[in-house]
Amino acid sequence: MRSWRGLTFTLAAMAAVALAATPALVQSQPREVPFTHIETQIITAIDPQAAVDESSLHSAINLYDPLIYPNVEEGSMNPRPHIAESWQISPDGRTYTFKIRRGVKFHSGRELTADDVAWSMDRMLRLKRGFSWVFAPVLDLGATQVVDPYTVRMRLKEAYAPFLGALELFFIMDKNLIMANLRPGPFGEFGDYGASFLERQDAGSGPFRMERWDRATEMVMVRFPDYWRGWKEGKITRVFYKTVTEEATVKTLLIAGQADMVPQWLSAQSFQELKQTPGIVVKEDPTVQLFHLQMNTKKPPLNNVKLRQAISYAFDYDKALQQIFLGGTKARGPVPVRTPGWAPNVPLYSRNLTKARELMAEAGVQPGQVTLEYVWVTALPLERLIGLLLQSNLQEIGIKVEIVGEPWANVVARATKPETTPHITAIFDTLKYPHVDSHTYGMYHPTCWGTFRCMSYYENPEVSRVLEAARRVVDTKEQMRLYQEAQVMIARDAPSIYVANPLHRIAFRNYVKGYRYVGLLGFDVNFWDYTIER
Amino acid sequence: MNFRTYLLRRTLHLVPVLLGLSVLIFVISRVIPGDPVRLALGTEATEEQVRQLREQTGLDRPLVVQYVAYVAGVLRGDFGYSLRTHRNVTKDVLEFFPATLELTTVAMALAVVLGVPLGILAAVRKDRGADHLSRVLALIGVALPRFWLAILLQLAFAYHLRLLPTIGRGPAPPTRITGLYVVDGLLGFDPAAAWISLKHLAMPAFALSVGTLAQVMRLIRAGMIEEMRRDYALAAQSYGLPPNLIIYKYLLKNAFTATLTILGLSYGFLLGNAFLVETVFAWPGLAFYGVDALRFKDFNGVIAVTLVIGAAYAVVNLITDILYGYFDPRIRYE
Repeated sequence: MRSWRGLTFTLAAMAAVALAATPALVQSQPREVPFTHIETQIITAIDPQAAVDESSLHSAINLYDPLIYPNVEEGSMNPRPHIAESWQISPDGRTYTFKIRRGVKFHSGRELTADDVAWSMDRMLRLKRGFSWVFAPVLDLGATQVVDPYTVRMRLKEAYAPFLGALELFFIMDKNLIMANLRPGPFGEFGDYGASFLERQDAGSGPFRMERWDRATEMVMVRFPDYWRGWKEGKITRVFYKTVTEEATVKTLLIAGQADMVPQWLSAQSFQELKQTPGIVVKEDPTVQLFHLQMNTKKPPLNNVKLRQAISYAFDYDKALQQIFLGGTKARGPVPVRTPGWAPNVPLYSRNLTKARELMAEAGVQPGQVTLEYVWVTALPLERLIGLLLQSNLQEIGIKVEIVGEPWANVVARATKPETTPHITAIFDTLKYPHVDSHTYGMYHPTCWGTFRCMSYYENPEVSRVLEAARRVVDTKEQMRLYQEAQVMIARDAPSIYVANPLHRIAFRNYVKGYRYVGLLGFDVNFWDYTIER
Repeated sequence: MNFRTYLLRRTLHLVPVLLGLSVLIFVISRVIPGDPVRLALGTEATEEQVRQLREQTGLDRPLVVQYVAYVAGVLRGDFGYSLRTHRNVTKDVLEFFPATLELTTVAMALAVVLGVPLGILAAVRKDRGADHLSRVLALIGVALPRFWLAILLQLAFAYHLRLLPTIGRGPAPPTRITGLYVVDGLLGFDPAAAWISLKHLAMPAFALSVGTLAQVMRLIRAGMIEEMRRDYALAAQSYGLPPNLIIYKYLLKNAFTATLTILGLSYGFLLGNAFLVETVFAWPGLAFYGVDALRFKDFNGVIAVTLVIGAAYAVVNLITDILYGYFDPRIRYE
C-alpha cells in the first residue's frame, strides 16, 4: 500500500513538473518572424572587406560585427563600444589599444579574440579592396598586434583624426574558418584569402547567418541564436533580402504587403504616393549627404573665383529644394549640416541677381561671352531638372549652359583629368566615413584629384595646410576648430554650388518598429534593431 | 548533300560567326570610355589598388594578348573573372542563362499555342467579327510596350486579384538537372514544384510573348487565306474532306513556312531583349545580367552574354532551317 502511494505521488509530481516545463519549452523556440526587404541594386560581394556599395554593406552589417559601432540608439554616427568594449588612445594619437569583448561567438561556434581582429585588419590591407583606402595611408601590415587574447593594439604611422570613426567600417572575420578554406590565389601563403569560400558562406559573428544567396535575386539570412547582444520577442528571425530594380514593382510589393521595407532610392514622387497609403510609414530624416554642382576650377572661365561666386548667387536654391527635391535642408557649405564638426559660420549663398551681376563685372565677364557644359548622371533624372533650373537662372545673368547627360561610368572616367572634367557636374556625395574629414580633406585636398569627389580640382595651399594639420591634431576641440576654419575658406572660394542636404526617405509597413537613421551608409538597415509588432 | 553533312557544315559555320562576334564586342567594350576596375573597387580606390586589380585580371596587358588569352579560356569553358559579381563569369552564365531560356521558350510556346488558332480563326472567318477582333488584338499586341504590359499584368493579377506571384522564379525545385524549373520539377516527379514555377512564369512569359503572338496571328491568317485560294484546297473541299482535316493537315502546313521564319528570328531576339520584362518581374535572367554588366563595364560579362546569345541565335536558326524541310518536303539541304 505504502509503495503504491509513493509511486502515485512520484508520478503526479513528474506530471506536474512536465506541465510546468511545457510552456517554457514552447517559449524557448522563438516565434518565426520573417521580414522582406527590397533593395534596388544587387549585392555584389558578401566579403565585408570588399564591400563598397550600400547593398554589400547591408550584408556586412548583418552577417558581421565591426570593431566599433555608430551610436544608433542616440541617432548619431559617433563611435560607441561594440566588439571593442573600451579603448585608449595614446597622447600622440598614434597608438590605439582596444579591449575585446569576451564571449562573442562566430557563426562557426568559436570565440572571437584579438587574433581575429589583427588578422582581419591585415587581410583588409592585403586585399586592397573595400574601405582599405581609409586605413592604408596610416596603418602598415603587421601594425595591428595582439597584446593578449582580448587586447589588440594598432600603431599608426601618424596621428589620423578620422581613424576611430572609420573603424565602424572595419568588420571582423573568422580567421580559423577562412584559413581552413583557402584556395590557390594571388596572395601567396594566403591563397585566395577565402574569396571562393565567401561566395557561398559567411565567416562572421553578426546577428544573422547567411542561409542562401541567389545572386541578383535574393539573399536569405537567419538569426544566429548565440548572437552576443541576445534576442527578444518580436525580433526578426529570417530576412528575405530581395533585389528588384523596377520602381513600380517595388511600390506594388510594399503596398500589397509582400514586402516590409523598401529602399531610399525611390523617387520623391513615389515616396509622396506611399505617404498617402494606409499601413505604410515613410520616415524622413536629414541626411549627411551633399548634393552640389562641382565647378571645375582648372577650366576657364571657372578658374575665376569671382565668376564662381556670381554663379553661386544666381542659382535659385529655394526652388530647387521645394520643387525638385520636395524637401530637405539647404546646404551650408561642403559639410552636411547634420555632421558633427559642421561650421555654422560658413558663408551662405542665396539667390541675389544684383550681386551676381556685380561679381560678374568684377570678374571681367560680359553677358553672352560664356558657355558652360553642365553634366548630369543619366540614372538620376532629378539632376537633369537641376540642370534646367541652372540653365534658366544663369541665362538671367547672360551665361549659357549646355546640358549633357552621361552614364555614371563616363562621369567617373571624365573626372580623372581636369581637361576632360566638365565645367559643372552634378554630384550626390555622402559621408564616406563618419568624420567631417570626409567632406573636407576627402573633397578639397589635392590628393583626391582624379575622382568624382574632386571634380572641382580645388587647390588652395592654405586650406591644404589647415586640413593636414587638422588630421594630425589629437585634441578634438582644436581638430574641429581647424576643420571649421577650412570649411569657411572653401565655401568662400565657391568651388561648388552647394544646393542641398537631401532628405533621407525610407518606407516600411507600420508594424516595423525600431528603425533609426544615423547617416552612415547602410547602418540603418541592421535587421537586429527592428521588432515586428502586429 | 545529305542531312548529316548539311548539319555538320552549318555547325562549322558557327565558328567564324562567333569568332567575328567576339572580336567585335571585345574591341567595342574596351574602347567605350570608363574604367571598370575603378568602378569595381569604388571610386575612392587608390592607384595602387587599381593597378593591383588590373594585374590580377590581366587588364594591363596589350589588347591582342588579352583577346588571345580570353579565347583560350573560352575554349576551356572559362569566360573569365567578373568585376561585378567577383567570381567566374561561367558560373554567372550557368546560373542566369537557364532562367532566360525557360522564360523565352514558354513565351514562344504561348505565341504559337495562342497565335496559330487565332490566326486560323481569323482566316476562316475572314472579314467577319472574329477577323476584325483579331486585327485589333494584333495591333494592340505589336504596339503595346512589353514593360508597360508587364506592370499592368502585375497590378491586375498579383496585386488586385492575388492570383499569381508578383516577382521572381519562385523556389528552385529540389532536383536540379537542367536549371529549367518546370522541367526539373517534372523530371524530379514533383508536379507541385513544377506548378509553382509555371505560376511564376505566367505573367512574364505572356508579357514577353505578346508581340510575337500578334505577328504569328497575322502571318498565319495571311498564309491561310492564300492557301485557301489554291486549286488543291478547292479540290479537297469538292472531294468532301472534313474542313478540319483540310485546315490542319493541308493548309496550315503549307502556310506555316513564313511563320517559322518569324519564330526563329523572334526566339533569338527575345533571348537577348527580355531585359525589360526581366526587370519588372525581378526575373534573374541573362539579359538582366548583361545590362548590369554593361552599366558597370564588366567586360567579361558583356562578352560572355553576347557570345551565349549569339550562339543561341545561330542554333535556333539552324533548327528553323531544319524544320523547313519538315513543312516543305521539296526543300533540299544544300
